[in-house]
Amino acid sequence: MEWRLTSSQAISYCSWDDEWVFYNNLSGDTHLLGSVAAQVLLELRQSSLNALLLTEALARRLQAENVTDKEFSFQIDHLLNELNTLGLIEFS
Amino acid sequence: MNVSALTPSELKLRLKTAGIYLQTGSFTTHLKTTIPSVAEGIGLLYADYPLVEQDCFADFHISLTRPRNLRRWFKPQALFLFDGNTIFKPLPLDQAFPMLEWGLNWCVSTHVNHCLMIHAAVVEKGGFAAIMPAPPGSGKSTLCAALVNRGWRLLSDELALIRVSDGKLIPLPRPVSLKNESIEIIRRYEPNAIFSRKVADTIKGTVAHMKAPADSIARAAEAVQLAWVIFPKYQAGATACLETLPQSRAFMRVADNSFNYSLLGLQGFKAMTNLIDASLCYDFTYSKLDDAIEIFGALKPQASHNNHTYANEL
Repeated sequence: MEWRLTSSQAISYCSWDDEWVFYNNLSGDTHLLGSVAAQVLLELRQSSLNALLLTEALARRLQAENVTDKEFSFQIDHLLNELNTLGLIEFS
Repeated sequence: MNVSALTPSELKLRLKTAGIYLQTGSFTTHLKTTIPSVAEGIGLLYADYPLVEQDCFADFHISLTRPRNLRRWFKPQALFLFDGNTIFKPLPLDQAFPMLEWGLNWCVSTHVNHCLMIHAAVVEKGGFAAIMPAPPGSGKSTLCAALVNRGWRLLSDELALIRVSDGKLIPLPRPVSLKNESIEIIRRYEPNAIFSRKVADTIKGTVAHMKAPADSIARAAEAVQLAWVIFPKYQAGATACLETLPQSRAFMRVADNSFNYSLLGLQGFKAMTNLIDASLCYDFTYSKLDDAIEIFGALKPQASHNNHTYANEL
């Protein structure tokens, strides 16, 4: 089971400093996201990933030192669920 | 020919019969009314506006009438008609002129979608415009009225119209709507300003409209580049303070104050991105108008657009 961007979704985005504004053409919603959430979407743009691989990829992007850290994994899980609720990503 | 070319009785007669074709910014309104207070308000506050040739194309066809019901003998009312249809519930006859102003705002805010439309005052100086989005009660119109009486050009006190094709602001200079204490504050601030009669007990309290400066009306065809997004907030006793606002936050707040951002979809997102990218964004708290004028006078446009990241279709 992997996370991916919601199918048929064409997200547009812009960013200033560390904050990102995403437009979701399917929902018509605009979201203000922090850099970690934005990195999740950028990572999933490249390929679908399971939670573990996604966490590792994010750790590299964010230069987090300890990818096994439970708190980091917990936060990423929480974030994935939030992005899912917003309709930006889905479980395949 | 401007409205002022007609005598009060000619204006009243024309409004009662064929109506007038009034040019406000880039819009033409065909307006008819039998209500004397509306004719007087138009004669006073729209004196400098051009009248377009009779029977030409009009963007909006409006009439203000008195409903012919039994109430007219006891508590007379005014009715706003758009294309011959009733749009709003009738209001007390005394509120007919404010109703015209609110109705004209409604016409634009519900029909003009070639522009990104923000609920905001817009003023310009030196070729650069500031938009001031804010909810009612924040002191937006008061600040706008003060600025246009101190050298800033009025583009609008209510509707920022941003042309989607090039991001320029389209002027729509119309009378500035003031309410409650703001009316006397601006009367004192600029004794030469021309006001409509005060109307009490409206849904907004006591309201009056201030005539737009003649120069702003004469330059209503000059679109302008946006330079600043400023969220004003009147706070009694506060020292004037201009605080930088992150552009991403400003994006969301401007979108919240937009009439048609969602309706425009991706086009709206792109227009908003360009708007924010072209602007320096601030929160502005004030209590004294002179302090506000001084701070606005010191505003400088950004040297070049910020380096934001923008991408389509992830």
